Amino acid sequence: MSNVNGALEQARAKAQELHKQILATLGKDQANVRANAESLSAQAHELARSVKGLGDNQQADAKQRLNDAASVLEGLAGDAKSLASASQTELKAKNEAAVHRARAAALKLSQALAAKRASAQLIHS
Amino acid sequence: MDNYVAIVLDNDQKSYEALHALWNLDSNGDVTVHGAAVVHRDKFGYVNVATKDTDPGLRTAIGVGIGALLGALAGPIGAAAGASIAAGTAAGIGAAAGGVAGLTADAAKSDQHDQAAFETDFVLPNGKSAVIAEVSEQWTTPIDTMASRFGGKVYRRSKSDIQNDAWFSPDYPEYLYPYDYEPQYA
Repeated sequence: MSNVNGALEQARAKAQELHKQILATLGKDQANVRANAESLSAQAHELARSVKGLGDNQQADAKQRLNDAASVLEGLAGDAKSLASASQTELKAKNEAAVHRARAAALKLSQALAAKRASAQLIHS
Repeated sequence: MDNYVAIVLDNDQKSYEALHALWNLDSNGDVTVHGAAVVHRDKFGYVNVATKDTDPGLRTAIGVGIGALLGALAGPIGAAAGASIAAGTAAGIGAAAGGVAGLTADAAKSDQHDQAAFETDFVLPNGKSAVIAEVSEQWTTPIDTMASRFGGKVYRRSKSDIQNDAWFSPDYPEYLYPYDYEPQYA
């Protein structure tokens, strides 16, 4: 595995973990959701920053998907932060929106990884 | 190539094992899995999703989408070329049946959900389980070989074909888990 592939796989794994964490809060009480909001937001923001850095020296396809992933993760950071102050009626919808964004981020990173793997296989074939 | 695949298996246990085996292929870099889920069609024809979450609302939302995706995997005309059977020698029969099902439904596409339900029956017969996944694969051998190890049939359509379907939903990826999980039914 190349270093770039390894970094991409790690980034995808972190996005997958964010999805797991947010999905797990769907069935939990509001206090639990609010307590985790700041931490989730910080994780998403940090991941967005690191994903942006991965875009350097990538081919156009992978670079575009990484940029998309970074944007989605920034959106997720905002969604997660807003959970802390959401009203009771807003909470479920906001949590579902966060799940949606986390899923989208994981998908973009997975697509970037696929593009990277495909180009590596072409080089070796 | 970006594809949707359904690996149809005899029972839930085999589907759970196939799900983990699919993600192992991803870990090895043989394919890239973007999302996957295990589904089951009971003897009455209802499709249930084995989720990692027991929230009833989530389960229902996922179930509707998975049914539509199963339908998309069978038709319409793309199924004739795209459907394949990994194990055994009945690939031609499966492909032809998929084409017929797709054409029939396409001619009567007044109700997209009825159409999807009709074609879902072709891909996932009553009493069977399946792993549904969105993948990027350079060749079909890794998934086909893995599926044959479990005695599974593989249905495969390219994502671009499915996106051209009359009843395509951009929400399909939402119904698949973006990582390996321990499936459970309610």
